[in-house]
Formats: sequence, C-alpha cells, structure tokens
Amino acid sequence: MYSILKKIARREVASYATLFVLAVSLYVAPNQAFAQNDDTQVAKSGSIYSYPGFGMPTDVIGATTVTTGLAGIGMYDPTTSNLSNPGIWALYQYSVGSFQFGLTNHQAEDTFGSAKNSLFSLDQFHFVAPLVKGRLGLSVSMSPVTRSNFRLYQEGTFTAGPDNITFGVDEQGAGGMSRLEVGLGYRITRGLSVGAAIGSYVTSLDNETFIYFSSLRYTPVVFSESFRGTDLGARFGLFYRTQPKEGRPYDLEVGLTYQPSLEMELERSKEGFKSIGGQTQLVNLDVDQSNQFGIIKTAPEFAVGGTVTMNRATMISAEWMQQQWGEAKFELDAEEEAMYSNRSKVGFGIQYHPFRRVTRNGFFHNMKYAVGVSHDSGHLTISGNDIVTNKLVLGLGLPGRRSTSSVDFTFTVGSRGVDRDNLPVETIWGVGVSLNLAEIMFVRPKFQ
Amino acid sequence: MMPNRTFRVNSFAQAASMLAFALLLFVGCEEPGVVGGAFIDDEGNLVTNEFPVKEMTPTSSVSYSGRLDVVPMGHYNDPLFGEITSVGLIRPDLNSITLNRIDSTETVALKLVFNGTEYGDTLSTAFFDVYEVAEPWRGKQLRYGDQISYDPTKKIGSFAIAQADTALIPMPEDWIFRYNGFISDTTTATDSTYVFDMPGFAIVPDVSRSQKMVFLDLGTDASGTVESETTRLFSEDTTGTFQYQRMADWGAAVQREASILQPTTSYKAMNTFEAFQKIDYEFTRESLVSQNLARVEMIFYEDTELLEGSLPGGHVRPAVTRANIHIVDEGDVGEEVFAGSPVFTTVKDTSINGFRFNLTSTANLFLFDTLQTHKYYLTVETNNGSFQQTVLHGPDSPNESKRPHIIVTAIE
Repeated sequence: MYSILKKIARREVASYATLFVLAVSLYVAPNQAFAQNDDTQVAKSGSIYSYPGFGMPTDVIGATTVTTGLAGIGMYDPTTSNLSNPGIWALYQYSVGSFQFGLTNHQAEDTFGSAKNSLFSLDQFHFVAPLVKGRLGLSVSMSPVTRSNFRLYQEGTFTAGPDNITFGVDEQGAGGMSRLEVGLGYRITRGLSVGAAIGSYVTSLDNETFIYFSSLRYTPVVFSESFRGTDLGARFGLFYRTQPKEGRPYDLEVGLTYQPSLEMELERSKEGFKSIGGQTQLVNLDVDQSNQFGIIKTAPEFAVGGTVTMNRATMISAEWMQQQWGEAKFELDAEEEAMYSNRSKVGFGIQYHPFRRVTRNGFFHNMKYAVGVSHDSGHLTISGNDIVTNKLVLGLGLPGRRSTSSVDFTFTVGSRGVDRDNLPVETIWGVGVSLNLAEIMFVRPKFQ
Repeated sequence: MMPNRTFRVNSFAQAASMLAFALLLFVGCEEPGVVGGAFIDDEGNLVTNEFPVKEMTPTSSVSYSGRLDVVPMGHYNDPLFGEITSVGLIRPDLNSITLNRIDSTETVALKLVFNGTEYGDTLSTAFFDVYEVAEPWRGKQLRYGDQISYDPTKKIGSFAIAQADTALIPMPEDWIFRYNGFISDTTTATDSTYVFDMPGFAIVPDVSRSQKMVFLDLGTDASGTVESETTRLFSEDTTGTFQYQRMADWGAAVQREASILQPTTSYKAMNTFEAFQKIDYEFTRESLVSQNLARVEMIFYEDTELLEGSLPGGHVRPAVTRANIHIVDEGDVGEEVFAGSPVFTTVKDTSINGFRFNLTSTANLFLFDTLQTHKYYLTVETNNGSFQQTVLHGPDSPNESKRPHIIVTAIE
C-alpha cells in the first residue's frame, strides 16, 4: 500500500513540477522574449492606455471565478485555487494549483488613425497547499500587478534652421510590476477565516524608441529606456461563509480584501548607440543623473465580494473594488502621474456547474458554464475623461473525467476609453485558458 | 482497485498549447498605427536649439600655383576678388613615348586644350601671346604672386580664345632645332640643361584686350587620355602620322590686385587659400540640450546678393560646390590646409546656398568623451588651379538669418 501511495505521490509531484517549470518559463518569457522589440514578433503589445506611468493595473483573478472575469473575493471552491482572497486559503482540503494565460487583442481607434495590438501573456501561477486541512493553508503565487505593453507610433514636424522635417516616433514598451508572493490563510471559526500574504514586488519596464526623419541628413535615432525597482508588499483577506444546509452546500459567502500601497524607488537608465568621434558606441544617455531615480507608489486597494449559491450548481457573485490611484505616484513623469485618478470596478457573474448536480445526463452536463460583466472606471482620467473599461466574459469549463482538475476557457469582449477629446477607443477581445489542478497529494484515499 | 485520479498535465498542456498556437495564427500580425496622440505628447520631446558661430577670422596663405589640375591664364578684373593676371607656364617633356627626333619635313605645333571653364566676360575674346620663358622655373615651387620673366624677343606665336576650347601654335624652326638637340641627347645631364636652356613657354594674356580667364587642361592623368585631345606638343610627318609630347612641367604666374569691393560683414573664401576663415565655435551642455542628439549641424550661407550683385551681365565665376573644415593646431596653416585632409567636407546645399557641416559626432565627443580644443579652418574646394571663390555671411551680417550658426536637434 505504501509503495502505491509513494508511486502516486511521485507522479503527483512530477505533474506539479512540470507545471511549475512551464509556469515559470512562461512567466519569465514576457519580460524577456516578448519584451524584445522585434518587428517579426507578434502578440506583444496591449492597450495603448498601458503607456502612462508604470503600467495598467492587472487585477488578480482567482481561478474560481476566472470564467466570469471576477476576482473571486467572495467565493470558495475546493477544486480551484483562489488567489484573490488570502482568507480563502485556509479552507482547502487538498492542494490546488492553477495557471492562467491568454491572448488579448486591442483594436484601438481615434481621430488620427487606428492600431491593432495583440498580447500573449501568462496571467498568473498559484499553488495552495493545506498545512492543516481546512484550517491552515499555504499559498505560493506569481502574478502581475501592473502591465505595460504598448506600441505607439506618432508623427510630427519640426523646423531646424532652413529645414521643415517630418519625423516618426515608433515607441514600444514592455514590462510592468510583478509579485512573487507567499501567504497563509487561517480559519478562526467554522465560518470565518483570515489570511495574509507578503510578496516581493519587482518592477521592470523597458521602452525602446526609434525616431526617423524625412531628411536624409538626419540619421535615425534609437534609444532604450528601462526602469527597475523592488520592494516588499502585503495583502490581507477576510472570508466568511454560512454553514451548509440540507440540500445545498452553502447559502452565502462574503469576502473582504485590503492591499496597502507600497512605495518603490525606480532606477531609470537610458541607453543608445551614438557616433562619438567617428566611432559608434553604446552610451548611457543619462549621465547627468538629474532624473535617474524616482519614487513610485501603488494605489491602496479595498475590495468586497459575495456569492450566493442558489442550489448545488448555480452561483451568483457580485464584487466591488476600489483603488485609490489618486494617491499613486510616478515621480519620473509628473505629467503622467497627473493622469492617475481613483478607480472603482464592479462586477457581476453567474456560474452554472451542472456536473455537481446529483443527476448528470449527457455531454453538456459535464461542463461548467459562466457569464460575467464588469464596469471599471479606470485608473486614468485624461482631459477630464475617465478611461472606462466594460467587459463581458463568457466561460466554459471542462472538468477532468476522473479527477477534480479542470481546464477553463474564457472569451472576453469589451471596450476601453471614450470617444471624446480625440482619445482612442479600444475594442478588446480575448481568450484565456486556466489550468486548474486539484489533487490528492495530502488526502488519504477513501478505500484505505 | 486503486482509482486512477492522477491528473495528466501533458494532456492539458498539449491542449492549451494547441489552442494558444491556433489563436496566435488567428490573431495575426500587429498593425501599429497613429493612435494615442491626444494624450501622449512624445513628439514634444524633440527639441531644436540654435546658437551662433562666435567668430570668423580671415586668414590667408601664399599657396602653390604650379603642378595643379589646370593652369589658369588670362586677365580679369573682378570687382569682388580683385584684378587677376595669370601667365600660363608650360614646358614640353623630353621623354616622349614615340618622339625621338623631329625631321625637317615635319610640322610641329603646340596644341593647347582648355577645359571649357571661364572666369569673367563670357562674351569676350581673350588674347594671348606665347613667349619663351627667360628663366628656369619649377612648377612645384611656384606660388601665387610669383613672377616669371619671359623674353619678349622670343615670341612663339599668338592666339585668341572666344568660345573655342583649343588653340594651335606652330613652333618656329629655331625652337625645333634647339629642342631636337635635347631629345636626341642621351647624356644624363640633359634634363637639367634643358630646364635652364629651354625653360618653356609663357602664355601671356593681352591685358588691354582680355577680360576673362581660361583654364588649360594638361591631361595629366595618363589613363584614358586621348593624346590628340589634350594639351600636347605634336609633330605631323608627310604621311599624316602624329607624334605627341606631354608637358614636363606647368604652372601659373598669378598676380592679383586688391578688389574695389571690400565686404565688412561677409568673408571671402578662395580655393587658392588667398582667403579662408578661422572658425570659433563652442559647445556647452546647455546649448546641446541633451545627451540624446539627433543632429548637430553648422551652416554657413553664401552672400549671394554680394556675389551676384558684383558681377556685370554675362560675367561668371567658377562655382564653389564644396567646403571643408580643417583642424590645424600646429605648423604652417597654409601648408596644412593645402596638403592635409579636411575633417569635414560638405557639398553646397543649393536650396539655401549654404554649406552644412554635420558636427553630431564631434558634439557627442564633447558630451561623452573629451573634445580637445582645436583650431578649425573653413576652406572651399581644393587648390586645383581654377579660381573658385565665394563670400560667406559672417557673425555680424545684417541678414541675421544668414549668420553662421549651429543647429542642435535633440531628444530631451
């Protein structure tokens, strides 16, 4: 028996190891391979609104509610990991893990033109292991905090002596702030649990600019700018669920999360190739050091969410999140910092899991279905206009046939921006995949 | 029986990979466009700055007037650049390829071929007398201002140049006889004796009747030279066979009188180095705006008003199409600009009638390394025998937009 268990455990560990390696490699990839400004690359640019500051906030979306596009602040599902609320980590009976990746397409238009950008991204990796089943859980995760992936092309003219020169600026940026986080969740009473996480937050932004001129007298100018910084940050969560009643598992779940702001010193470096005395050299373009360091401050976040389980198979969730971007800082560019404004997001989602019902008939009963909508006031206010994002998410889940693992697919459509003051309006559509692993590593088989 | 509950990562990974790949193909390439200009003002980061060239100091040098590409000859009174009289000097070679001896039956003549460039009154005819030179001379030692005497009693002939570009001067028998003595002599001292005894021809303009200069093409480049189409001493025998002799030495004895017009805020630049300019400019961190330079350019403008206004109708000057900047920190400035290579050369921008030097690399040297203090000299063309001369607006020109200046384009 022991050898069988050992064999199972070994296979489980191997599975997780494979998943972990895959997740890490994909996680690192966006900062390296996808950050390369190579015209032959595809799927590396996202929203044009990720240009200002240190990127656009990327919300934590727990695998539990990924199919509705909601964070999952107030929803526990024993088979899917939930990164959004540390309080939920206490409840897991067996280890769960997930990683999410997706491809998002942004079709932007304003009065000047249009652009189409695609971004492939690994959204997050999350693993929760119960240290004490249903009482104390350990969470390890990697997830983005902000993301900046844009490609911007602008044209202009200037006069230099006798010349009127037309020039084009092609600027590409990649990177953002990411966190590697470890946390614990602890159940205090039968229904109430709390959790906290501490994370290492790393900011890595790389912009590459290519300027070319209509006059052959001017040789094209190419330079790159990078921002680097690290700091520690924390998140806290509280979760409450009512006790099960006959005929349905839970009546109500409610969650609260809070993430204080963190300040980070960013170091900026600017490099370019220059002809110096006839020889081309790579030089630091910021040697006067007047603007090499600057503080960034993230927005403190408060979120609340709840889920009502109507029966064993139908769950209705609602969430509200508030981020105080008005307090955020980006010292390296006051103009961009001035665009920050407080952000609130509300979402509503329904999940239907027919396979949970006692009676299961047919192929379509073995799937998970979900739909969610969200309204996001955005973290930028430009010329008095909030850069609003509205999204509709459709989800489809395929549970494992002989396990509680599953793979979920999401299809997102939405829009961002307002059609005023020449601001770009983006049409967003994307597809995402969430691989959810729920295993028995720490569960003694029932037949023993 | 142990239930098989092991999750198969590979199946999921494969499914996900295939899906991702299909999506990548479906989404296709990016199409970046002009979007976001309303809130991203990056073009404002491109900044230009102009600052003046501090000083232009007129400099002059007595340079060489022999063994150049062409031999100037003629007379012209240029109101702006002075009255020039140039006596052409040539000496036929002894080391002919085919000519070893001239028979009495042969016709011998000096064929002068001009390159078509004119300086002065294009509608006039230039008159010349050809004399034998009375003193030994060497082209490599001739300088502007030198005078070489000729023997007025030994006149070889005369010719006039209107629009034709060739003159033919038959050689007198006396000269042929003496010349035959040298070409048939095989002793080693022949060459030096020849230089002393037969120093060559002086082609002397008739100052009273000539109002233009022409330029003798020596055909000194052996490759591709057609003997019959360039300046040669040639003989023709009774069968119509030609033999050619190149010129062994050539040069010009040039005299220039001061001009009537003496500009005060514009500066002369002459390819003979009779006038060129020492330039003083200075880079500062502030004037260069930033360390991310797109271009730093120094521009000098021709004073076209003065150039054109000083010439009567139908008169022309050889054009200046090229300007140079030399660095000369030590030694004789005239020798260095004549023999040394310029650090910058630029072709005239005819749209602005100016010369634009790209100093970006030098400015970067100032920003990122050590730019040593140098002495910069602005010259035009090369000293090639022709008279290519211009006038450039100076730092005090009343036309402020034409003052020499440096334009910096940088990204802040």
